[in-house]
Amino acid sequence: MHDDRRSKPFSRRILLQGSAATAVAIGFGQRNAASAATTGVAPKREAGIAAPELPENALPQEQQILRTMGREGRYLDWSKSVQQRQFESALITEPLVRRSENYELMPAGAESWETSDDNLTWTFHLRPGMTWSDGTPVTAEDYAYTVRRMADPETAFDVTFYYGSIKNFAEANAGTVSIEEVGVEAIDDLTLAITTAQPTPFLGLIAADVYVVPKHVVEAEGDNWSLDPATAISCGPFVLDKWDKGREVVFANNPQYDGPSAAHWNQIVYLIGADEAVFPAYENGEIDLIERGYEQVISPADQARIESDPALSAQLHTFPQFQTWWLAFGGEGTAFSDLRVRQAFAQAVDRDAIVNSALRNQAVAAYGLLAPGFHSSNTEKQKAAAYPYDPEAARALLAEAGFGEGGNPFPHYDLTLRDPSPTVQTVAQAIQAMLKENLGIDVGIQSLERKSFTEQLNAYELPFVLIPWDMDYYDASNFMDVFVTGGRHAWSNADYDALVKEADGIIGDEAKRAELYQQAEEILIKDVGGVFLWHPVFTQLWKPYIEGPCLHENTYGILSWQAPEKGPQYFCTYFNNERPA
Amino acid sequence: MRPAGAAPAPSSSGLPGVALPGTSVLAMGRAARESSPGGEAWRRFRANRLGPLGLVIVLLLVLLAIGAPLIAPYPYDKPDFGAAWQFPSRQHLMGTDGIGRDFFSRIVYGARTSLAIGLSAQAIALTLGILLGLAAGMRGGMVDFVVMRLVDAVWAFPRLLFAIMLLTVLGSGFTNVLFAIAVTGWIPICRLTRAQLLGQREQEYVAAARAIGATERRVARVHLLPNIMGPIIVALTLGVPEAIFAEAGLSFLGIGINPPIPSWGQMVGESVSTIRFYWHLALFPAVMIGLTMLGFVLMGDGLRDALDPRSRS
Repeated sequence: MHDDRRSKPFSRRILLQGSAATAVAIGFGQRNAASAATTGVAPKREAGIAAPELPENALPQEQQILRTMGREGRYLDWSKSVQQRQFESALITEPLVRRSENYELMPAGAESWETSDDNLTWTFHLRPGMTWSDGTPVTAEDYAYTVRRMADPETAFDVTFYYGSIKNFAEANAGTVSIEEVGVEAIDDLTLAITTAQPTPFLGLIAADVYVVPKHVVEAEGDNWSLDPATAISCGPFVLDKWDKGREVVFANNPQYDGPSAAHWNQIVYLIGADEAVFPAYENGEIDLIERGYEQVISPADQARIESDPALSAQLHTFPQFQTWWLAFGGEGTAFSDLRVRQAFAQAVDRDAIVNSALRNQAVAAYGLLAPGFHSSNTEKQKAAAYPYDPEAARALLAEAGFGEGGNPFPHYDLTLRDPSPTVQTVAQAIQAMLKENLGIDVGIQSLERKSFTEQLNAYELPFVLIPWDMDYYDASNFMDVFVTGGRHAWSNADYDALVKEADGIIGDEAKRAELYQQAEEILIKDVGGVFLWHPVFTQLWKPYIEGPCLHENTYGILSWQAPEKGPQYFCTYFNNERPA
Repeated sequence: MRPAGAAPAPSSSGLPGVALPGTSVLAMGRAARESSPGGEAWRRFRANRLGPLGLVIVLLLVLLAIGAPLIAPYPYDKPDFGAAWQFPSRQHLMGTDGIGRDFFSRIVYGARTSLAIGLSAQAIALTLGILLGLAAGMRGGMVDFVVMRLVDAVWAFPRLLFAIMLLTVLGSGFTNVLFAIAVTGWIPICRLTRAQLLGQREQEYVAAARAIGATERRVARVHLLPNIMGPIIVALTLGVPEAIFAEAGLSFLGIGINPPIPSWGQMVGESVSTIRFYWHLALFPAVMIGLTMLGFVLMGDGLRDALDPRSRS
C-alpha cells in the first residue's frame, strides 16, 4: 500500500463559510493547533490544515502551489457541458467513484457499492459526513439530481449518449418519458440506486463521471452557479478560490474535505493560455506541468526541441493513449459497399510510413480498434487479421472490383476531416498521395467544422472519413459499440452486432467477454469496417521536483498524469525540496 | 536659369543649364516621343522609383509560375516518407515537409496557384465589373438602380467572412475559392466604371460624338471606354494582391485550395504550430506571400501615377 493517508488520524478545522463571520475550530490535532478562530467575511485558508501530512522531503505546505496552463472554458461544471467545461472542474466536486492510476474504481463519494441479483440495479452507499463548502450536507438526492439534470433536455448537456445505459436516460433526453422516470433514485440521504436497462458490467466506470452538483445552489442560481467562487460551492478536494476571466483559475485546498482524494497542494493555479503559449511557459518555469499534452499543445516541432535538450528529455513522459484513428467508408450507393474496394484501400495505405513521417513517431501503428493494453485488446490477433500493406494486391483487388485500367473510372470522393489539426491535415495528404501512387485514385481532402461534420456523419452522408475515438472508460464496450449497426458508421455486420451485444451484457466472466470482443474485432478488421491506422502517443512534461506515490508506471506500463476525471495524479503529488525558490 | 519644373536636360558639355545646339535637338526629339500617351505614361511609371521594382518582382513571379516544371527539382506532390522534416540543405534548398515533399518545389508551384487565383479573379472582376458598370452608367434609371442595389447588397458583407461562408457551404477547391473571391471582387470595378462614366458622359467630346450621330454603343466603345481605362487598370492591378491574399487566408484556414495542389497560405497554416523548430516550413511561404503582395502593390502604385489622371498633381 503506497497510500498511507487514510490510516493517519485526521483532524481538521471546519470553516463555516458564507455569511457567517466566525469560523469555529472544532477538534484539536497536531497540525491545526495554531489558530483557534478566524474572523472575516472570506476566511483565508490556512496552510496545512486540510492536506494529508507531507513527506519529509517535501516543501512546506504554503509553498505547495502547482501551476499549469491551458484553454479557458465556459463552466466549471461537467454536467452542464463536457465540451465547454473549464478544466479542472473535477477538482471541486466528488464523483460517485474515481479512477485509480490503474483505471480501477476507487471510492470517492460512494464508500461501497453493490449490484442486485438481476444485475440491473447498482446501489451506492455514500460516505457519511460529506458537506458542501457552505456547510450543507451532501445527500444522495444531490447525486440523483445531477443525473436527472444531465438527462433533462433543458440542460442541453452535450454527451448524453455516454449515459445511455442508465434506464430511461435517452428517453427522458428525447422527451418521450418524464425526467422523474430516469433510472436513478435517492433511497435515503446516503443511499443512491442506479438502474440500467440491461445488465451493464461497466456502469461503475460510468458512475465515475457523475460529478455531483449542489442541488440547492443550482436550483437557486441556474447554470451559471459554477462561475463565481461565492456560489461555486464544493464537496471535492479543492474549492474554487478565484476565476479571473482570461487570466487564471485558482483552486484552493478544501479544508472540509475528508475523503480518499485529499490532496497535498495548497493551491492549483490554472493559467489561461493558448496552446502555443504553453510550452514556452513551461520552458520559462512559469508552469510546472503540461498535462493536456494530447491537444497538440506539444507539437512535433516542440517534440524535436525537447529531444535535442537532455534536461527537457528527462522531464518528458510519453505513453500510448487508448485512442484510435481510422478511415471509415460510406455504405450503399458508394463504391465502398464492395468489400474488395475497402480491402484495396486497406492494403494501399502504409501506416508505418505515416507514423514515421507526418506523426513523427508520436504514435504507434494500429491494426485494430482496441489499442494495445486496452481492455480485451489482443495485438497479435489484430495483426494476424489485418490486411498487410501491399500495393500490388491492392491494385489487383481494385481491378477485380471493376475499377482502374480497362474498367470504370473510380468515383471521385473527398477524404473528409473534422476540424483537423495541422498534423492530421498532413496525414490526410500522405493518405491522398498513397492512394494516388498505389491505386491511381485521386481523392480530394475536405475539412469541415465540428457541427456540420457530425451532422453529416450521423446521417451517413460522408463516403470517406479519417476520424478518431478516444477512451472514456476502461472497457472494450466503449470502443466496440461505435461500430454496432446504427452507430457512427454506415458499415453493418450482423455477426459483429450479435457478438458485441452478447459481450456487453455478460456479468462476471471477463475472459468470455474478451474472447467475444476479440472475435467481433476480427470480423471488423476482415470485413474492413474501418482501416485502423494509428494510436497516438501522448506527450506530457512535468518538472523533476514533482513526486508522489501514484506517479509511477501503472500495471499497463504507463506513467501518465491524468486529468482529475481520469486518474489520481492531482491528488497524490507534491513538490519535493529540490524545487528552486 | 531653367524654368522651374523643367526636367534637367542631359548636357554633353557636362554643365547643367548650358545647352549646346546638338543636344537641344536631341532633347526636343525625346520630348516629342514622350508626348505620345504611352510614352508619357511609361515616363511617369519610371518616375515612381518603386513601380519598376514591383514590375520586376511580378515578372519574376510570372517566370516562376510559367517555368515551374523546369525550375522545380522534384514533383510538388510526391512524398518521400523517409526524408520527412528535413531542414534546408543542398539537396532540398528549402528542406522537406512532414511527409518528405521537397519544399522548394512546392514553393515554386505555389506561385502558379497564387497567380492563377489572382489573375483569374481579376479577369472575372474585369468582365463583370465593366459590363455592369457600363450598363449602369450608360443606361441609368432602372438598370442603374438595380445594379447599384446589387452592389450595395453584396458589399454589405465583410468580404472574407462572405467567402468563408460560401466555402463552408460549397466545400473547398480551386474553382470554389475563385468563385468566392470573384463574387465580391467585381464590385470596386463596377463602381469605378460607373463613376468614371458619369464624369465623362457630360464631357464635350462625348457631346460632339453624339452630335455627329454616333450610337450609344459606339460612344461607349470608341470614346468612353478608352478614356476611363486608366483608373480601371490601376484598380485591377491593386485587386490582384487582394485576391491572392484572400486565397492565402482561406487556405490558411484549411478551406481554400485542396491538397495536394500547393498553396502558400495552406503551407503557412499547416506549419504555424511548428514554427519555433521547423522554421523553414512557415517562413518561406510567408515570405513569398509578402513578396507577391509587395510586388503587385508597388506596381499598382506606379501604374496609378502613370495612368490615373486624378493622382497627377
